[in-house]
Amino acid sequence: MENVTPWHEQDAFWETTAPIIFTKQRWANTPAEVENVISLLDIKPGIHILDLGCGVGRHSLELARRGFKVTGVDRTKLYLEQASEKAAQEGLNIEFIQEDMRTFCQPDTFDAVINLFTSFGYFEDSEDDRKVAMNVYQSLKPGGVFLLETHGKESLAPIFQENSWREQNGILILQEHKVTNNWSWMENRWIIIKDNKRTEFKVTHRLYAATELASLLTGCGFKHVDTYGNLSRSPYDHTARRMVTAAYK
Amino acid sequence: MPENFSNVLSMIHKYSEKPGLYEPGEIKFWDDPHISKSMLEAHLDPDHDAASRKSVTINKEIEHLVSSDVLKQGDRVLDLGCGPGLYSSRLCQKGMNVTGVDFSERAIDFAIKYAAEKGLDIDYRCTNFFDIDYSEEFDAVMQIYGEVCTFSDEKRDRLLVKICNALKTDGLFIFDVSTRAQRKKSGLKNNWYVSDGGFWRPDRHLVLEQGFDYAEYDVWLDQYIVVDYTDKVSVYRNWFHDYTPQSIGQALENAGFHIIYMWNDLTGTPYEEGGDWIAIVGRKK
Repeated sequence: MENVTPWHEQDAFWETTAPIIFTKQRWANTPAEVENVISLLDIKPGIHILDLGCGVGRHSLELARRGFKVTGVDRTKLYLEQASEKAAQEGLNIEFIQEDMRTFCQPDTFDAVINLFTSFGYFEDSEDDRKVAMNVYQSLKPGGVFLLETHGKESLAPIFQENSWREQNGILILQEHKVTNNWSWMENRWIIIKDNKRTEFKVTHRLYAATELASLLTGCGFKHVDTYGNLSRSPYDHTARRMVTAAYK
Repeated sequence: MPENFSNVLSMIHKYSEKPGLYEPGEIKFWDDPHISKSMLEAHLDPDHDAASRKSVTINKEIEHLVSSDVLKQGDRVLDLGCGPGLYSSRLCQKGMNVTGVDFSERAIDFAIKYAAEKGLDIDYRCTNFFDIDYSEEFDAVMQIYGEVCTFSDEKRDRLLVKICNALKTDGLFIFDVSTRAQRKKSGLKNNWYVSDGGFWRPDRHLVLEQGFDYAEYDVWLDQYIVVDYTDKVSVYRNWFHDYTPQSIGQALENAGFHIIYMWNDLTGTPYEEGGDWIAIVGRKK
């Protein structure tokens, strides 16, 4: 039977998939990713950054280590507990807040907002995406910047596969991918096999073309939007494998 | 979900780590009763390039080799990796005296039966290439469809020596190798499927496909992890060493050949960089 709670609002989803999402390799890549974020945004330690959809705090922790003032927001309590514990162990002062990004808003508070690793567009109602973007716009100080790193239609199409699989820490994950609604919606079936248990989730999210996302952001008031093909500022052309959008207030 | 699935997961875990260069998977899988049948079917499908080239291509290749005088009526030809005899049969029909060698019993059985039906006098042998021991007997040795690419450097060099020995003086070695350009297109990508009977198994099974790149060696691995309905996990590995004119030229030179023709394929397409194949005729020095 179809679960009526959307996948992204299920704690079970985030708990089950944590070892697959936050792999050793991804933790190992984090310092380099943060290095790229800092250089792309041209930001200096001391400024206040909001990590929106911070998860277990991969980027929040690394930014705090480098002297940034960080607030991490996520809807998953378990993740925030893990993030806080790591921060406490390292003596890092990070504010972690459990809240849905559709409601989180702190006007004129942040110099930069980051939303990394495909953490945008989960909501079935596209109006919710606009709400998130509006919240970000309002939470930024004038001149602040919103950095969004995700799949774009253009970056996904050349590498799209119907099926893919991975094995991670003794967990087998089989995925089926489907593009629907004229390339605006991605429907993924995640089959997770761990020990003797098989769990399945339907994971869906919206797909934007670079110009569509830019219009959404400028519609919320952002003055200027740049798009790149990755965090190291490759052009968003036919070789792009990610869509990185920097929107300036 | 069966009780012992954690064993399956630990096997999958083991196999999904990048293996060492040329680390073998299941050995002699071409003799597995089901897989050998699937392979034969793939070879015999005239419209697909899966195991052998399409019929129309094979015909063009042979026309080209004959019209360019590489192969002549009356020649003694050794077809190494002859499979079900797609080339051997045609060469025999062109008046050549053919010996076909393959290590698949099922393929050789088919070839022998086919030759008997068509009244073709071909000497078929079911043996490993590395066990051949001919001395100055052949005018030409053929090894078609990238067979050379499936060997490590060490095995390739051993084979080239065997081929050189099998040839008469000025004898020709006719073969083709794939390039990295082709591998980029055809190298296995990450994929999985569940089948109720297919290439690997006659009944229900899961296949986890993955490609591994050993770029520094121009080597690519197509790996298939197959999970049976009995929860047996098997891994099948197809290794491909791709070549450049320089790297294959050097290997031939070392083995005592010099290149007399180089094309983009055996139908004689003039050589250009960036092609999927390099077809070569080497003459024994």
